[in-house]
Amino acid sequence: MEKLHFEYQNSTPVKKFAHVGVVASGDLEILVYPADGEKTTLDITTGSDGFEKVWQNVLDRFFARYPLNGKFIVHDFGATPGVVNLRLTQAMEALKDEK
Amino acid sequence: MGKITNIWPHDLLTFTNDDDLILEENPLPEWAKDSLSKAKIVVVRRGQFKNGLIPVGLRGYERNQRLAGYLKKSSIVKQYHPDYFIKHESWCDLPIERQKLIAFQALVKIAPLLTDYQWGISGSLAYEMATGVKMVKESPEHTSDLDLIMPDLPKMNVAEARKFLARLNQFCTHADVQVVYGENGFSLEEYALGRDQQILIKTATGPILSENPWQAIKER
Repeated sequence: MEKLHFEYQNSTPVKKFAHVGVVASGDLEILVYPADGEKTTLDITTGSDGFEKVWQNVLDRFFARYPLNGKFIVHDFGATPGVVNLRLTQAMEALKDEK
Repeated sequence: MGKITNIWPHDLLTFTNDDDLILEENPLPEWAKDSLSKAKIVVVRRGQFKNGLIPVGLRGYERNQRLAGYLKKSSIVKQYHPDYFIKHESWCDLPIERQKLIAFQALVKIAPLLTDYQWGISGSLAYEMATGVKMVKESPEHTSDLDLIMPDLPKMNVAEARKFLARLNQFCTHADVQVVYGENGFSLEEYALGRDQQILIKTATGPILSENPWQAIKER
């Protein structure tokens, strides 16, 4: 079990709560809240250790396209980068829907 | 074992020589060597089959001990489809103290509830039943999930899916149902939440989102 923390400076504020994904093998759940401060924070709990660089790459790419400023809590159960990216996109869509 | 014709994600495959397996890490981590010394078995991953190479994963006891690789189709000795363990009631062949674990007890109780369905089991329970290697966990921190694989599950609405899962989840362990069709699959739990308009579908070429997962798994 590993805990990872990432921070970004993003411009688009998250205004609501969103929850996507499931607790299941090869998947993950993402909870998104409005940011606590100025920074976008991600706290990731993962069962798969040693993938910090892979996370960094997926997150860099995602936030370059969608600069969401919020607080992200992620519970990962061995999701592939493709699943992570799709779940992030789904969270972004959910935030849009709720507006 | 008869001729190998069809190979699907979640199947367990045994082989004879370590060299038959091409892993994405070299040299191998210690846990992988240890795992291979106990049982030469891998699980089929979703992905493209090319040049007779099947995408597979090797596992160790810990959840972070997973390694992706490829197995040559010609080197398969035995294939266990997830329903093999149900048809053979393979849990009966385990030592009594292993049969008493919460996860195996739950499996025994779930089996009569699913007699009308096509289903199978993957994950740590399948691994242990195929190899006899202790893989199922039971500790205050973590009890193994039941990874149930259900091909061609008839379409349910969200309320029906909730009811269905509630029946399977009454035995002190988490039953994780994946509805599959060919290489594709989605989590029944995600569907039953009824929370999102779109559901994640895993396919051989990567995950997609769909509003109608029952239809989409058959189309891809």
